This record gives sequence, structure tokens and C-alpha cells, in this order.
Amino acid sequence: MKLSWPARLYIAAVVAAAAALLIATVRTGMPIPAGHAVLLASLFLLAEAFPVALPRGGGYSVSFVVTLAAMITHGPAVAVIAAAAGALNLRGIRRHPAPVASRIFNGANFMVCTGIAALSYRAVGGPVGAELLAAPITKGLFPVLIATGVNFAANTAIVAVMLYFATPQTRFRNTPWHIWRTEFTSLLPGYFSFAFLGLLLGVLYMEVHAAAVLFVLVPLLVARRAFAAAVRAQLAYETTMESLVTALEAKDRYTRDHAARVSRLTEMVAREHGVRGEQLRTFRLAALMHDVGKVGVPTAVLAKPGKLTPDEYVAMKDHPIRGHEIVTEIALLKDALAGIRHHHERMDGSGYPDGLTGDEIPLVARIIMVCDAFDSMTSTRTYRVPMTMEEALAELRRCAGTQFDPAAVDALETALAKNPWRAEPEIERLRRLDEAKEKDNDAAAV
Amino acid sequence: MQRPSDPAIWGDRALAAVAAVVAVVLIPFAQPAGFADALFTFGAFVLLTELLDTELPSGKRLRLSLAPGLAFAMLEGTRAGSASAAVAGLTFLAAACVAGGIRALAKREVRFGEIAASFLTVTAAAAAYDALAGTGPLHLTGRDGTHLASVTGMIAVLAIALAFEPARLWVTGAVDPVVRRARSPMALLRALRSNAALQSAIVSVAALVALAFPKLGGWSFPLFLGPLAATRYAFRQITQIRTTEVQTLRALSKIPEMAGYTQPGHSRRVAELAVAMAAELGAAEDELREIEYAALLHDIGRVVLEDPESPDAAAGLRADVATTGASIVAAAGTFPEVARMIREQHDPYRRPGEILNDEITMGARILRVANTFDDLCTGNSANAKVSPWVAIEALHGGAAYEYDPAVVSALARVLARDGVI
Repeated sequence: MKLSWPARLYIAAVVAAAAALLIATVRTGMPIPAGHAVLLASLFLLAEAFPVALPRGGGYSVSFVVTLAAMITHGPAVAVIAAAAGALNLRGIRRHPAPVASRIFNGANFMVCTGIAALSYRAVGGPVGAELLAAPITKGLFPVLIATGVNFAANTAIVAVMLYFATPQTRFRNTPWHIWRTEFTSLLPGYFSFAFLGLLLGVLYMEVHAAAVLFVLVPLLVARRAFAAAVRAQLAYETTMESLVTALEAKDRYTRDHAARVSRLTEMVAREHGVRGEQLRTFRLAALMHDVGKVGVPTAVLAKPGKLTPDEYVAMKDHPIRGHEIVTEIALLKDALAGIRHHHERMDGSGYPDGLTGDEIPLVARIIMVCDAFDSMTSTRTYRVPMTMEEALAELRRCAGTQFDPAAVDALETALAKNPWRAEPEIERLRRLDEAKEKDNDAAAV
Repeated sequence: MQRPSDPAIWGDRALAAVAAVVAVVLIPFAQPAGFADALFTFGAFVLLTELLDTELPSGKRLRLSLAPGLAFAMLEGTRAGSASAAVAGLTFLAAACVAGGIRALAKREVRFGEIAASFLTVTAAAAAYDALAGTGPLHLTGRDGTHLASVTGMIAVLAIALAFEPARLWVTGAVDPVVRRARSPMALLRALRSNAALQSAIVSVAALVALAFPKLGGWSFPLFLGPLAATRYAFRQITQIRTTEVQTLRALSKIPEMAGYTQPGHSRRVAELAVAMAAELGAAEDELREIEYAALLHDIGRVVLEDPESPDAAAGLRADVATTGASIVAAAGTFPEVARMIREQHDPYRRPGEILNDEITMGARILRVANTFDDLCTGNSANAKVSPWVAIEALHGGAAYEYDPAVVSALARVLARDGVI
């Protein structure tokens, strides 16, 4: 990937800051024992090579534990030198060797965060080496927490700005602040728990033996493995459910992938409403399953082009209740179940099944309602050609207040402006149908 | 649900009785000499970690309290001759029992067998350390020359912690929640393997604390608890995901029933039966999960194929249901084995003239027997409702051709144990 000029300038600035900090830390006048510096740098590399996977995706390494230990045992300069090893980055060295620019950036970033953190540690009176051993351990605790906070702030800020410069320049580019808030704030608790470990590592390193450090690695690697397993389980669950629900819809082939798209739209809109974390996940899952009640409705009714007979209409109208009944035992969805039951209510109270009005309709249902309507209008049905996204939005706005929640319609519009979205065109849809059929045949043949 | 006849409960009781006897014998030896502070700190952390005792997704327990317990066993500087093993063990037991009481008050499960097993491990480890600490050639000394720990003693503690693990798993029946009643050496081996990483983490942390305690005192506990607590958090997340997963699949399995294709509760009953049979046959944790999922989803293909008005499955349609269901699950790509079991759910075990149809997975054979049994017992349009006795009889009649005889026997054993036949 070719880096833009602002991105290159930014990397140069970070490298300059790293060099300045290296000089500043060396000039603090603390001795720099070469053997220890090399040992700590190797430990740093080792920690970098085994990043901890995070439940929400991505990962971060525990290398900060090592730089923290370096700064409390030998002072800022040794810590910055150990952090410089980050430029070597063993991770993915065979399959995806990192480009030179990103190595340089990583190394410089580590040096800058470590340098600033180490200098703050000293500034608030953090004891180093023999001072630490002579003092009660509580004396080291507060400076370690300060150093951790500073390191976290510097590291995430530098990376957030880099991500900002590295994304293509479009109207919808997120600000660094937005990136920081959404990507990094959840890392904070983990960071502090590793800070304590850094303190322990430092004391062991000095008091006992450098080899004792290996004992620290075992629980860390086990924790890492457990997190990786949790991430895999989460991914497997979501993939399986999306795939199963999509397959069940296949009966009514005009709604193929409808649930998956409504689920994505719902996530985008809920995010605009300030829904975060676990709740966002339940909204997404509820949206995915909003039509499971339809699976029991006869195909002939679902795909019927003309007007429905009263009986057929009742069968159709029951689907939110049936859906609610089906998923009711999924404990995780407890709060989002209402989204399935009430996704056909209307703001003026003329909807079904319960005829709720306005704010009586739960937020998750109001969001699913809008996303469901939007996706239905922009995809092909037996009885009409799809609308364009602009036409569909205009239609939603026309019905806002009577049928839809105006706030949800606004949020959808904002979300669509921020995220790339493409309703599936007819050609694409047919191609996918054929592909799926072939796959089914292949599977049957095997 | 555990019933009183469950051997796991007897294992628990036997362990608790042995521990009580050992504790009574140890009491006269226990004379804490001038290290009450350390005792109190360790006791507090045993108590805390006992409260954190967590059931893992597999039903095994995460015994975090072994970390402070074993650390205490290895601690130098609090040694008072042979009495220290008694002190270490009894401190552990007292703290763990207080924690057990708190858990009982909070209406959470207390396994006294687990506490007893940990107590015996800690006492044995401390005794071994005492016996070997003076003899070995290797010693770790601090920067200022103080004696920190004997490497020989530490190795002995490690060996004891690892050796007691299979015994604990076997006696408390924590090998597997479903397999509690069916303990096979294979299941034990698998449980040991899946526990190995955690066990080594706990032992490492114990060694760390033993080395760091003289300098850091009680501070070393919060420091070491960090990664273990993180691990516990990750495991709890996995448990939650698995729970949601199985609940979701149960929900989806209701769809064919609500649409009127199958008897209400059919998939769920088949799943329960199939899991019990698989456990009886010694299936591993992951295999049990796959069989449960396959049983829950075995009729899902009907939803796509038929309309509620159409008559019940004709023979030709059954194959379609199987392949369609299988391709639905296969498309997800996450559970290929589940898809395979669903595809083979109606395949006979052996055709006349064939020696054996090895191609069919064990899961599919189990699913076939469980499915047929439930169909026979609840009755559908193809056959009238019969008693479990008659159903078993019919399955036995088809054994060796239609059904795997070993699987049919497993079904009979499960039913006999549950008091159905």
C-alpha cells in the first residue's frame, strides 16, 4: 500500500520524537548495562510475538509488561532501548512480513510511549533499581499506575492518528477521536492488570533471578490462549447463526440474505443511537432473527403476489408472535426479544400484534422496523422492482411519525452517509442464488 | 440434575471423609511459630480464590485456590520443621471451608470433594517440600544472599500437584459433567490434556508467589491474580457463548415442530438421549457438543422442503431432508462434523452382504437410534405409539443391520439407569 504524504510526514514526526526521547532519557545519567538491555529487548520481542487476542477482535501484546519492568529496574534509557526492539517485530515474519514503513513506525511508537511513560514515572518520584528494593512496595505502586496511564494514552493516541492518516481520504472518514473512542477505550482495564504484572516482573528480576521471569510467561500465555478460544467461539457462533437463518429464509427466496442485511443495518443505526457493547450484539442478533416466525408460514402465502385472503393474512400477521415464542429461551436476547415481537407495530398504534404507540414501542423494535422496511424497499420482491436508496429514504421520511420513529429514520440516514452500503441489485442476487444452488448440489453429491 | 445414586456424589463424600480424618490427625502437629501474618494473608487469599471457583464450559472446575495453597507449601522462612505441612494444610482447609460456607449462604454450588482434594494436595506438597528442601543441590538465592527456595523441593511440589490431578478428576467425577457416571480412562486422559495448560499456569503462579512473597508480602497476590483472573474471565465468556449457542439451536429446532412437521419437543428429546448415549460410549467433550447440535438440527431440512399441509415424510423425502439439512449446516462452515451426522442420519449401519459400513460416523449411528426410539415412543403417522419396552425390542430386532448393536445396547443402559425400562 502506498502511503499518503500526510501519513509519511506523520511517521517522520513520530521517529523524530523517538530520537529526541532516546537522547533525553540517556541524558538522565543512569547507567546502561548492555547485557540487561539485550535481555530485556529479547523479552520484549518475545512478548510482541505472542499478542493477546481480544474478545471484540484485534489484539494487543503484553510487551508493556516488559518495558515497565525495564523502567523500574534500570531506568528510562534501558526501557526505551528495549522498546526499540519493537521495530524488529517477529510476528508473521514468514507469511506477512511487515513493510519497512510499518516496522519503523511501530518501533518509534513503542519508543515514544515508553519514553514518555518512563519520564513521568521518574517525575512522580518512581524508585528505580536498588531504590525500589529498599523502599516498601507501596512506594512503587502509584508511579507505576501513572506510567501505565501515560503509556496507554500516548500509545492509543499515536495509533489512532496513524489509522486516521492511513484510511483513504473520503467524506466519511472517522476523526481520530472517534477511532480512539470506539477502538481503544475497552483496552484500558486489561492494560492496568498487566501493569501490576510489570511491577512483579521487575522485582523478581532484581530479587531472584532473570530466569524467574519465565514463570511469569506461563500464566500469560495461558491467558492468551483462553482469550483466543473465546474469540474463536464468538466468531463461530455468529457465523453459524447468520448462515442458518439465511438458509432457513431460502424457502422464500425473495428474502434471501434479508435478515443478514437487516442485522447489519440495525447495528449501524443502533450505534448512531449510542447503543454499545453487549447491547449492540443483542440488537444485531434480534434483527437477524426478526423473521424466524415466518419460517412456519406456508410458502404460498409468503410469496403471494396479490392480496392475501383473511386467513392467510392472519397466518402472516402471527409471525412476530411465533418468532418471539421461538427465541424466547435465548437468555442473551432477553432484552431484545421485544424487537422481534414488535417489529410490525406503527407509531400511530395501527400496527400489529399489540397495537403499541410511540414510545411504548421498544427502541430495538423501532430500529428493526425502519431497517426492515428500508431493505424490503431496496430489494426485489415478486410484485415490484426495487427502489433506489434515495427513493426508499424519501418514502421512510414520508411515513416518519405515523409509521416509523423519526429519530430512527434520521439515524438510518446518518448511518448510511457514514458507512458504505449497497442494496443487493437483481443481477447480483440471481448470481448468488445460482451459486447457492450449485453448492447445494455439490454438497448432495458428496 | 444429580441423583443421590450418582457416583460423583459418593466420590465427593469419600474424599471429604478422608480429608476430615487427615485434618484431625494433623491438628496436634500444627504449631504456628511466629508467622501468623503470613498465615493470615495466605488464608485470606485462599478464601478469595475459593470464592472465584468457577465451573468451566466443560463442567470442570478452575481451582484457582491451588495457587496460594501450593505457594504456601513452598514458602521458605515460615518453616518450623515437620509441623509446617500441617499448618499449611490446615490453614488452607479452614479458609476454604469459610469460603464454602459463604458460597452456601449465597446459594451457590459447593463441592466439598473439590475442597478436600485441594487440601490433600496442598498438605502432601508441603510435606514433600519439607522432606526434600534440605537435601537437594539446587537452591535459589536472593540478591542479598538469602535462601529463597529449594529447586528440588519446588520440583517435588510440581510433581505432586500434577500427580494428584488425575486422582481428583477421577474421584470427584469432574471428568465431564455428562460422563460423570461413565468414567473411562480415555475420558480421563482427555480431561487431563485439556486441563494441562491451566494446571501449569496455576503451578507457575504458585512458584512465583513463593519467590516473591518474602519481598512483596501480601502485595504479590493481587499481582499474580491478574493473569489468572483474566483467564477466568475468558473462560466465563466461552461458557456464556456456548450457552447462547445451544439455546439458539434449541430455539431453531422448534421451528419444524411449530410448523407441524414433527412432534412437539422431538428434537430436544432426541438431543438429550443422544448425548447420554454418546457419553455412555465414551465420547469426548467436543463430540458430545457436536452430537447435541446434530440432534437438535436433524429435522431442519424439512422447513425448507415442505409445506405444513403436505403429508408426512415419505421414504424418498427423508433422504432429501437429511441432505438439505446437512447442506444448510455445511454452508456455515463452522461445524462440518454436525453436517455429516445430519446427512448420514438415515443410513443403515450395515447392508445385507456388506461386512461393515465404516463410512458412517458414530454420531450418525447414535442419532439414528435415538431418533427412531423417540419416533416409536411418541408415534407419528407412519407408526402407532408404543411403550419404551416395545421400542427397544424393535431396535434390537434391527440391530446389526439397521442399527449399530453397540449403540442400541448403550441406549438400553441409559434407559435402564434413568428408570425408563
